[in-house]
Amino acid sequence: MTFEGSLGELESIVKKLETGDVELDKAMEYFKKGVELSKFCHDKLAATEESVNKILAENGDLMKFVIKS
Amino acid sequence: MERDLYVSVSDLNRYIKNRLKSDEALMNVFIRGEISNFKDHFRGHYYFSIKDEGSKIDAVMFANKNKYLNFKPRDGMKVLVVGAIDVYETTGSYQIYVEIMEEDGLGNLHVKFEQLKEKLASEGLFDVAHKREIPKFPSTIGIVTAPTGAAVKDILSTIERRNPATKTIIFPTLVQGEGSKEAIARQIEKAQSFDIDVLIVGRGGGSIEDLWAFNEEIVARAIYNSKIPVISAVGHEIDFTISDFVADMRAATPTGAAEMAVPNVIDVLESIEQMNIRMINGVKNMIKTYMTKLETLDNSRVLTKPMEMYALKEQKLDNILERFRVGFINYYNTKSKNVDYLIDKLNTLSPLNSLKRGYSFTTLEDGNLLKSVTNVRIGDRVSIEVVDGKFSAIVGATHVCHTAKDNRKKGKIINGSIDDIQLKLE
Repeated sequence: MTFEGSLGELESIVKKLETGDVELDKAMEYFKKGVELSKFCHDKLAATEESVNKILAENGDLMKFVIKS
Repeated sequence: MERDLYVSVSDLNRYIKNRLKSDEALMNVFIRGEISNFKDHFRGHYYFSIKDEGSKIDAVMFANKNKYLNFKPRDGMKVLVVGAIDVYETTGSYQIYVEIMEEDGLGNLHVKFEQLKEKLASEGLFDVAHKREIPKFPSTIGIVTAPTGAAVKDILSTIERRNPATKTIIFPTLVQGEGSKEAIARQIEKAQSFDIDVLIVGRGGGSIEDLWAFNEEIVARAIYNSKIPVISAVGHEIDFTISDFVADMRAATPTGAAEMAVPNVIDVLESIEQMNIRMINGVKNMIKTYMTKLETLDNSRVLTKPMEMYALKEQKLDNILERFRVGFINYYNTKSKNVDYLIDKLNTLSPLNSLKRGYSFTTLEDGNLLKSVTNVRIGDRVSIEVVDGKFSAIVGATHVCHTAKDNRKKGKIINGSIDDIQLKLE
């Protein structure tokens, strides 16, 4: 499951629930799925941010190498 | 005394000048030749050379003379000239001071240039499709030029300045005069066997004759056949040479060629740094954007207050139940009224009421209601019921009454009791 796919699905679930035009059993299914998707997206974003920061911390001086004139 | 043997340079030049001026023939000469090195001085005077294949002479045409010209002289133009020969003492050079000048068709070199250009163009040597891309970050540059002189120095110093890590291989060659075109072509071919990313072919500035080797077919074909991308660098800003047309890229000067071939390493580093910053910002912005979007979704009421979804359903359920209740009560009431009506009606028809008013009814011994006098005989035992009880009797006499038939229908009552009916309704 990709992040974009999850986010898109979460969005459509929220839209469906907002219209209220859903069977109750189905609504509960959607709600459960929505909460799961939200958590997945949060985790994914947090992991991405963490790895970006990690890479930057490890290669912080990448840009600073000096050339002899 | 010995000193008197020596004359000054000025005196010598003046002497030569006077000797020339005393020659009537030199004061009015007619020359046919080709213009080269033409310079239009900002004060209006023209300085140029007139030449043929083997020789040339410097020429001056002052503004007061050249203002009558009906054409603009330029290099390679074949002209007819009338003028006087004189010595310019400052440089000790003789030159022709032009009085009259006329065009004499196209100059020879010019014609040769145009012919070759047309021929090579028709063969596709100048086609854009054949142009190879100059690599952005070459590690080795080949240079086909004269080993001495400004051109090679300019190229090397420019490369050194822009990226000192670049390797250079010089393929020394004659760049003008006899054998130069063959030498240039040969060195271009030789360069092919080296591991070279870009080849610079050229020389510093000069007259059109000086540059002529770069207008030769053999050089043009060598450039065309080069597997290595070629930058031509013939130091002549204004006019193009055939080499310029064939080469993958044309630089106006050798320095320009080196700049095209080698990227400035500081610029490259700067752009890498810029890209780095943009990349990091891009990733961070992306995460931020997604975070915002996700938070918006998280904050939607359906996720934060899912009970609202119930509430709606609850309300709907209540609503339906209420309608059901009210509907049923109405139904019940309507039906009840019908029953009450029937009960009233029944009551009016009830035999009990008749009994209350003093009537009675009689049943036979088998329990059947006695409806006709013909059903009994004297001595039969019957049971008679009145409002508060019953008693038995024995038939003593009978007689038939003829009007009794009319009342029979009225005496008919519904089977069952009032209690039964009410039970069913509950």
